Amino acid sequence: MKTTKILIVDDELIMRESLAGWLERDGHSVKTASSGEEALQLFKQSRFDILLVDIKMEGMSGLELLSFVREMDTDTAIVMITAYGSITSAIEAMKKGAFDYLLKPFDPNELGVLIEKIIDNQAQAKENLYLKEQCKDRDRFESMIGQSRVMQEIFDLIQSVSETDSTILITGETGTGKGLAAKAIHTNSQRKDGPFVGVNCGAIPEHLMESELFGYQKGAFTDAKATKKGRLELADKGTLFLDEIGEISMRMQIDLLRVLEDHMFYRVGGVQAIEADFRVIAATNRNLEEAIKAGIFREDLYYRLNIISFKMPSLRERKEDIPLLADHFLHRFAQEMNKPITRITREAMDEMMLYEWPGNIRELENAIERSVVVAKTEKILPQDLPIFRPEYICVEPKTNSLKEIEKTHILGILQKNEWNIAKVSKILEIDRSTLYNKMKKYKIQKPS
Amino acid sequence: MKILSLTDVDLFIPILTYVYGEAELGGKSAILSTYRLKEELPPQNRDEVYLFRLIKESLHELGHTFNLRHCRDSKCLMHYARNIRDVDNKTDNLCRYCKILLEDEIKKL
Ligand SMILES: [Zn+2]
Ligand SMILES: [Zn+2]
Repeated sequence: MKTTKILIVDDELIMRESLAGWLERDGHSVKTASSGEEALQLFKQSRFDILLVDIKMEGMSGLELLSFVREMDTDTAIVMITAYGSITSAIEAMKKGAFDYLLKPFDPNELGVLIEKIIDNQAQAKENLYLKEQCKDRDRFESMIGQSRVMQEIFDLIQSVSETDSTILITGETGTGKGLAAKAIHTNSQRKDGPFVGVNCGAIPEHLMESELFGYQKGAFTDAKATKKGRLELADKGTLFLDEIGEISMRMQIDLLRVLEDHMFYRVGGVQAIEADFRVIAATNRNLEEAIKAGIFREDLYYRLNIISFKMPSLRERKEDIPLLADHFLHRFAQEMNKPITRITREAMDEMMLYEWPGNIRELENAIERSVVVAKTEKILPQDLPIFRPEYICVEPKTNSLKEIEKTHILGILQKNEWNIAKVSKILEIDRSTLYNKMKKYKIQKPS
Repeated sequence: MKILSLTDVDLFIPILTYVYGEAELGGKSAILSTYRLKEELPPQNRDEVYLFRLIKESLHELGHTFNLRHCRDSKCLMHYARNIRDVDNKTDNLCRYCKILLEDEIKKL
């Protein structure tokens, strides 16, 4: 299991620091922010698993931060920290999607139990998603489609490394098809008749990881009714694919290093050393050199893995492949859903070419899937695409009166943001009193 | 050099109701309170049990100054004790993982 990333948001230094210290000693990776604004900034740069947010802060309130984060990301668990007097806002936060709240000061056990519960929940969700994606991926070498030069280079590389039996490290952003590259190496290698066994190191909770990898002997623990082979053993004569290796815990790193050195291990509760013959391919979207510097990844393990390494290009780096990929996905989904959709309009394709695709091919695939679901004609239109567009698309106004445009604009932003004055004044870059004055002037009223 | 202070008053940090101790992770200093370590001492061998608790929790806090974090293994020194029974349940040893991590840290010195 990976280290949990926690962001503490509190405008009181002493609260931030003391809580951060406690959580760090507990083994988590912790960052702090002194305001909602700063938190949002940090959140845009990197994802966090858990946000601990003080409800009452100067500037952006905890509740406002909650709504902003919820809009961007639904996986992050948000825990509100509240004083005795503001229970009602904590309850409101729960309705708005907070995971839970803590009444300060709180008992350390309460905090520990809550963090553990969140980690278990998230691990479960991730594992389910991984299994689902693995099923989906079964015969999808198609994502490896590409005529771009960078992809041609990748194909050549896969061909040549397949001939060796060395450990391989594949890097690259999420959704770039690292798993598919690993499978391609396996099927082109001498081990192709052996098994390809995948392990998602980021998804399996730490307490299950050991028995997942090494297996267990009957009676090793209460639930061990029969001896079970671990994934290392199952990968014998084949390829072991360690996905999201950058998320593996320090203790698992210690075990893995030993296994990679001699390919020998013990089942949990077992006394007999087991030997397995497998080739290791590891993948990560994390910068492992940075992880080493941060002290969360072992340097010796890194050198063990990084014998041959290559990076899967992001979709941004191979935009010329977008039309080919998009068409391919379109035909598949149209067929699967039995919809007579035959093409993507030029306008829609233009939008796809302009978009940055942070989620890469997987995001493109999901976007096409969704657009096939919602499309009402035989072609995909720009509005069918679930692409995030800049909030203010310049539409031809119905009137040329500046006053009318201003009124419509303010009203639109208010409606979009549930009449949250603080948020709207921030978006409009005017202060609250100016906003109130304008609302009065244009007779804009919240519908009751 | 590492410094460990002992105190008999109950400790807390502003957001938590109490802590057994505090330590700078990978730093120099640590503090331990004996206050809650006196809870539920068995009348037969009070001193012995108390001393053993004190040793274990002192080593635990010092462990933090060597960059060790909490460990899941309930027998390990670096296990986070939720209550005094957890403290009593620990051994005065590190588990094999924490041992390796400590060795790594010492090598870095
Ligand atoms: Zn501790
Ligand atoms: Zn340990």
